[in-house]
Amino acid sequence: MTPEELVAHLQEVDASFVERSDIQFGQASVWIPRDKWVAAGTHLKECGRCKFDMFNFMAGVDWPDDNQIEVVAHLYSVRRQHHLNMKIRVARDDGSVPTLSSVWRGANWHERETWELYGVVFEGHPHLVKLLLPEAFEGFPLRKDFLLMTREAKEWEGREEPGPPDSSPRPGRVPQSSGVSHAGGSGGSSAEAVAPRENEGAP
Amino acid sequence: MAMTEERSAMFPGGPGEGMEIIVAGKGDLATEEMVLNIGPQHPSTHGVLRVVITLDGELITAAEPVIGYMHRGFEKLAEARDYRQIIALVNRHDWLSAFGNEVGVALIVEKMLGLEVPPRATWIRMLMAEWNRILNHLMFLGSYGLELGAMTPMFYAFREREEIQALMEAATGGRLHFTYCRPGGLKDDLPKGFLQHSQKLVKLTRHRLLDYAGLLLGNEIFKKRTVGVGVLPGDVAKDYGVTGPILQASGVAEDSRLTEPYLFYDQVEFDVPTGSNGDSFDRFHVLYQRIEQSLRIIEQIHDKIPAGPIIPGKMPKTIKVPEGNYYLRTENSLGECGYYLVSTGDKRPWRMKMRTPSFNNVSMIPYLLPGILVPDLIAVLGSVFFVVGDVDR
Repeated sequence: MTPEELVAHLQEVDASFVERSDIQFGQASVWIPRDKWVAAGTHLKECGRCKFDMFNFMAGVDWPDDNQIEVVAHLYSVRRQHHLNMKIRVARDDGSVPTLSSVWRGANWHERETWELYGVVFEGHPHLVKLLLPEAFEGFPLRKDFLLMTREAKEWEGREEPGPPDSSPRPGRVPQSSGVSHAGGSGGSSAEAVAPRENEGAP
Repeated sequence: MAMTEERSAMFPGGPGEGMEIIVAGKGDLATEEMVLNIGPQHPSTHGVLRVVITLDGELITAAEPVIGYMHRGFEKLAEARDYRQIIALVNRHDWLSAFGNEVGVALIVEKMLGLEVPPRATWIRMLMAEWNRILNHLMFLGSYGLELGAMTPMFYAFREREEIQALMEAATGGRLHFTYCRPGGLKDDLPKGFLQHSQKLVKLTRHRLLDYAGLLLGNEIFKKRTVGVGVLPGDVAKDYGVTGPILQASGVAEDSRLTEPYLFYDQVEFDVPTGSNGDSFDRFHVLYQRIEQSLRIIEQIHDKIPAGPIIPGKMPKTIKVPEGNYYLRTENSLGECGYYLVSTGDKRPWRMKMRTPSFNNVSMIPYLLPGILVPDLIAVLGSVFFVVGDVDR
């Protein structure tokens, strides 16, 4: 089915399945309400026309401005050769999504990954424990307010700053005056670097 | 009579008291299940995968892979890098098929930008991707033999790999991490005499591939250890999102080069080999046949590669991908390697999900291992070809 047909088909089956939909670069995405998430998934897998027999991957996307996290489940049908993004948006604070692991076995690990990286709880998941991260790890590293660990250890003075872009004035645009002191510092270090060489040469 | 006297002398408690042997059928006697750790340093795990298995005698009743020992946070890091830097980054998750990884990023950026790639660059990308696929598969052909106790295939594999790596090094400058793609085309053109050398190497590799067939495919010991061991049905494989040679070995002819051709795969002829049983032997055999098909593709590329530029004349200094999201998949060596890119119009991705083949393939292990015996564990685990960096990212 073409992306348009897929969306139309879903709306036809149950109008409440599709909250909204869009097609970008020829790929269909449907936003599914929380209470229909599993029912829609089951239909997509079992319906002869959709036949989404492969659970491809699941990804989270953080949208701090909306205070929401988007969960994307990408489905593919080996039989019919079409793609679909199942999307759902949940609150950042205590967001939860019903598990799809009873529909596709492959969802199990992907949900564990999304849970530990974004903090979205998957209700009814059989084994929701850390997958990639160590047990003692705190925080949800793929959220935008979680800084890269290297940046936490040492503030980055370059122009690339992780986190939401342009939320704060970027540090690191070094003003001219500091350039002078830097030049002085490098001059001093080069003088120091020369001295040992002379010592080495002496004997 | 004399016998019992002798025995009672040996066992002081008298008959039936000193030593009691109970012979019980299954279920009569309470036995404890044993939990055994395989790895994270076990050779068959190709890195640091740990599998916790529960044993009933020698029978595996449950298996749980423990991953994450090599988690390097690539997806987080990608959000702080621009698209050219990401190409160097994605070289590193599946280190055995670095070119296959980077071509996906270049393709998705071009797709979202609507960028036209010169045909010569596309053909060279295909050529490199196929050589890289052979490099990867040779590694597993060799190491699988090694895991089953055959040392020679490993040496054979490295003999061929060395020459292919030298060939790719001539063009890209790298032996493991090529970083040869750029959004829009390639870093450099091929060096002089590359195609002739590549043609020679195709002949050589095809000839030497027979060594592996002779050593392993017809080998009675090898067959005894792999045929019928670790059977994975096709629909279960699809359920887990398993792709690549493992899915094909289960009889599903799914290969995105064929079903959704990217690059110029629609202009070359090749077959997708499939297995019939989905056992360890089929997985190995499919891997072997995929090398043959790659060689076939490479020969056709040699004939079709045109002259021309390798990158559009004017590329912007910073690449800003338009707003939106898209998932693009490529058939990498071990399966479907795709990138889900969410862009807000910035020069860095808002989110880049790396859909790596090994992650989904390894997630199937809890299905595959229960019910087999410990001696078969290595034969099965080794036949789920994976790279740990590709699992953990």
